[in-house]
Amino acid sequence: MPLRWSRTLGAGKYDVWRLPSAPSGDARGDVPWLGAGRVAFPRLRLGLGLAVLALAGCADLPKDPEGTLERIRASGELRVGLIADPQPDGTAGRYLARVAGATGARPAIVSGPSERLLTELEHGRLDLVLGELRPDTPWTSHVNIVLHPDQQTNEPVLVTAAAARHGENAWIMLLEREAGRLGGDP
Amino acid sequence: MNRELPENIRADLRRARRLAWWTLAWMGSVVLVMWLAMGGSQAMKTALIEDVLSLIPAAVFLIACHFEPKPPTRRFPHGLERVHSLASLIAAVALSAVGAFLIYDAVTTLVTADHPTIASISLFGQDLWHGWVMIAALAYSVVPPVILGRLKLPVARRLQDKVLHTDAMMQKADWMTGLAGVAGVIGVGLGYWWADAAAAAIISFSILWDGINSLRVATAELVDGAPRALDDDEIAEDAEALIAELERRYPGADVKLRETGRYIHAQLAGVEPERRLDLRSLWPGDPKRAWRLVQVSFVPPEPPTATKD
Repeated sequence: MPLRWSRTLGAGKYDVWRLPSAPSGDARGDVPWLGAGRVAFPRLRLGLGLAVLALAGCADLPKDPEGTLERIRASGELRVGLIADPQPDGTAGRYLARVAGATGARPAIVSGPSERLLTELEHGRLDLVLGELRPDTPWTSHVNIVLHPDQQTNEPVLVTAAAARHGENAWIMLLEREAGRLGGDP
Repeated sequence: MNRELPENIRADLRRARRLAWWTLAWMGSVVLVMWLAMGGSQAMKTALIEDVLSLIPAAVFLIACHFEPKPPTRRFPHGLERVHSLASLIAAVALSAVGAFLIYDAVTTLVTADHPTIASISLFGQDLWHGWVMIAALAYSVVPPVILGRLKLPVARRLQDKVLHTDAMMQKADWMTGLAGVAGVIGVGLGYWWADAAAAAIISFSILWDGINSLRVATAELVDGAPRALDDDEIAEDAEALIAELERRYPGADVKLRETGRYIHAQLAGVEPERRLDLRSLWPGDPKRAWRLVQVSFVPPEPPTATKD
């Protein structure tokens, strides 16, 4: 039977894409106009199959160029900078607890002015800076700002945000995932 | 100007225009896909700008083809053939700009050790590595230019069309940047921050080389140089053969060729003009390309008494 995706509407606001139930053995690969037993586009299928295998082989992409996430997991220490002014609200604390849980690491927190903490972060002496930042802060060219999905705005206002070193893609993905899950928290 | 072109050449011209329209449509869709896949990523911006620039040769080709057959007027007594010369310069500048831009972008990234961030993207409620989406978009962006470029090259040779040839080189640039982009994104995913920039740097030299070649050919035509080959700055083979043939037939003549778009004009100085001349009989090579020679003008020798001091 030809490969076909069926589209069903998910329970929530998202569409869910599902593969149809597995075809019975001998019908696999049959295409009506080719007759039984003939496989349509055999070389294309082989190529696609190899591509899928290749992709599955590196499914743990991305990796961090400077190995931030690996180091946090191995050492069990998460170096956090907490921007002191204005005083961080409860969101920052709940977020940090989630990230610590996801990495299995214990946060070692330093507190200070944003400029100093972000400079330390840029040079890799901190893993994460938490506090109130403007989404359009000029620091975006030096560090990567992770926002809660509900707070994505272009307004020049301060929101609770996390900052990570540029290019540490596995680490940033984890931070983004935890920021997305924060909304479900009480 | 309405040249008497053989039917097969006119058919090739129609085919070339169809290919140019297809290029605009396909590459337009590539620009759209790349823009959708970009999602604020700096790494994809270069590829997007490159794809937008790559529309220029096909667009100027169609504009030039629109003006080229216009009959001469009082204000344009030679017709508008040279629109093609101008178009080939614009196309060559666009191709060179793509190469130069890629080099600049790659070198700045490498020098400033800018680590590209390719994080997650939300797709159908799933958090996915953005790199996979980019790789899919880049893989799509490779397909149309490979097909279009291969279809255009033989037509460009038959038509001796510099704009179409530069356009085909632009498609080569497109698929090369697409493949380099895939390699670069995978490299970044594996933790090599320099992979994307390095891949772009490697191919950018070849693109700049093609661009500069096109630029030299286009400027040679605009400053009345002898007809050049399509792909390098040497005098075209058929032009060399024509010069030899004219020198054989008119011993002592000073033979000068120049090119307007796809057409050759010859000037013979220092010999008596012919009363009648069949241009096709002068063409030494493949008679299928005899349409290239459209004009022979004679500059009679000066009378010997004209020398004065």
